[in-house]
Amino acid sequence: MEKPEKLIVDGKRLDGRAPDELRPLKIEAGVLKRADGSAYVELGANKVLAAVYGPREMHPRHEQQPDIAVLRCRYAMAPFSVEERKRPGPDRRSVEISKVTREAIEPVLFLELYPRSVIDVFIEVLQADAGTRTAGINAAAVALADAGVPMRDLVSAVAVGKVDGTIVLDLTKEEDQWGTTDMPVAIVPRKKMITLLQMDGHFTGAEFKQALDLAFNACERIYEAQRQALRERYAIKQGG
Amino acid sequence: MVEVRTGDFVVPGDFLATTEEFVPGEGAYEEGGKIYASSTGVVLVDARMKRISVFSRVLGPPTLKRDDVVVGRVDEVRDQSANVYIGVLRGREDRELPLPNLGMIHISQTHTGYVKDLAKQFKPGDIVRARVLNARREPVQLTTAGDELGVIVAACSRCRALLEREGTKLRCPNCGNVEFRKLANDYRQGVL
Amino acid sequence: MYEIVSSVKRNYIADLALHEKRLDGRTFDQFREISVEKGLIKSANGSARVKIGKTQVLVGVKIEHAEPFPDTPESGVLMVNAELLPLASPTFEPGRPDENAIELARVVDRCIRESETIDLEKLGIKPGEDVWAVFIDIYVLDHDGNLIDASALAAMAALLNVKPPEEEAWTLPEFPIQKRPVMVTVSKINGKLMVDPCLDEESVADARISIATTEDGSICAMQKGGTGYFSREELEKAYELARAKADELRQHLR
Repeated sequence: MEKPEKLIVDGKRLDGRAPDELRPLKIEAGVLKRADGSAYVELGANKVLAAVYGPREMHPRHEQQPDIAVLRCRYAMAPFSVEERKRPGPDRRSVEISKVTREAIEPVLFLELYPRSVIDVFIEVLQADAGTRTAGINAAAVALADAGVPMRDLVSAVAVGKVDGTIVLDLTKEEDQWGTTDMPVAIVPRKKMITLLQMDGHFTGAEFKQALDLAFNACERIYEAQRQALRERYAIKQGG
Repeated sequence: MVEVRTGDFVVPGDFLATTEEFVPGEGAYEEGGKIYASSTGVVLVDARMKRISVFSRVLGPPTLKRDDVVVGRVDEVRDQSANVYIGVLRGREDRELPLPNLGMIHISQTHTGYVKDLAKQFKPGDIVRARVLNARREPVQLTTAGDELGVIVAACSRCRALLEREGTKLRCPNCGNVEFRKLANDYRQGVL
Repeated sequence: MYEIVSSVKRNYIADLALHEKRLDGRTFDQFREISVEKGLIKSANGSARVKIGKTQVLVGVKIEHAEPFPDTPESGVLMVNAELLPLASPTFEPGRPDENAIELARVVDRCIRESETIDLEKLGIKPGEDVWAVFIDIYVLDHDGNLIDASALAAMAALLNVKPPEEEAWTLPEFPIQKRPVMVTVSKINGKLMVDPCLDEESVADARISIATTEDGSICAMQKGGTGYFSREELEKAYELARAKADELRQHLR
């Protein structure tokens, strides 16, 4: 695709959204049989699956921690999830995303409850349209709750950025590619702790603050959708 | 702040009460004088005990506790005890156990009666059903005393064919070898 | 832990088989419930998700430019890859495809290639330099047994879902599909043959035979697995079973 002349026309983005509008979001908990916990997230054209196994015995044994559980995260993209087929297997990008995802999630877990064990979080991107790491974190948080792993809180995440000089929420592939700035953020919603923040591009100090405001607001909505997914799976149905 | 009531649906991180009013029970934790949910489920307010907990609707990790029935594999038989690798908590076969998953059956906990030779009760590779006596110790203390507890699958120590029950003995259908075990009453019935 | 569970269940499943029964109450020639959904992945040229019972496999097909193989300079290229994702089973580990993943990919590859399902000769662009490559990526999402049949069915459904690339180099009216092979796996437990083994059955089976047949009943690929054996009579019976069931499974490709 060639660069469009403008990414924002009359205050509307190419897909018709307002700058502070999230793409359609769908979250479902408990979608896989074998996994101990699982969740599926659709955010616009993103389709992401997350599964949790454990806490279980850690292999290789020398990586066990005597006093806490180890959290392992693996983010991966399906070969058919992107425009040009991606070769299977980890690349530098997915290794980095796996690391920051783990660091975004770890603060909400009680790892001290399961010494020498491992909690595995697997995130698979089935269809990608920018924002897969944040969609993956949203799915992972619900999958962990679905696995019944004790948690201090959930984790909600979203990307914000700058396109045509405007601060926008939840960038699409085109906005990510042609815009000036991309900043994925993960927030522990109840305590407002930021557990993931990456940024590339350019923000003034004022723009940075505005972007954070957008991210915090959007995470509230994402958090509600995460709660709703768990409620649908686990709330006692009235009269049922 | 909204008051949380019994039956309310909560997810991890939801505020439940302050520590001045309540103590955190199951599925809840305390931080900075406040009590929050740590699991997904419905709130249970025990006004008498001043305890607030979350009745989890999610089957979480299968952690072992006293009187749980487990199924495992005998890994080593010594003079006084047998070491068991605990595979599953009965009823939760869908899920792996967190550590510790090593158990131990002391010779005095093998049988309701007196046992002289442990090597005639268990052999390495046997699959046993046992009850947890103490899950706080490591290895986890187990017992096979009782009719429904003991070996449920055993292989011939000579040729590894599965042994068949013949009264109180086991016989190898392959080589005719006769062996003894502390058997569960449903030896090789396919039940965990 | 899984060896422990299956060593306890082994006898039970074997005894059931002797009495012509199965764990979930199915008959020997009965599949679990099958669903096929096409076109879920917009970033792929074709895609399909197949569920057989609780087993779930997603297949994406991508069509891209590639260099031809030197011995077939005018033919397109077919590549089949399978990933046993670690989220699909507690026993699958991250990392390079292991022998099971490679076997799965190669069996599905043979099923599609040997039946000449895709007319690869039509997929040349510039002889010796540029041809169309068809990538079939098998993504196993949930493993509850019989991955071979689910993967082969998903691959076939995804191929039938292919929309050719929107490029000038693509000159064919449509994606050239000539056949609809279907793979059926027959498991042998305690001397009894049964189709569509679930995971518990798979873990106690002596052997399995997977047979791919096309619409006319002819065989295009087979693979025997497991440490047990088949007699000649058993094999012939397995073929009859596979052929009959293939017609049933093919209905889901419409």
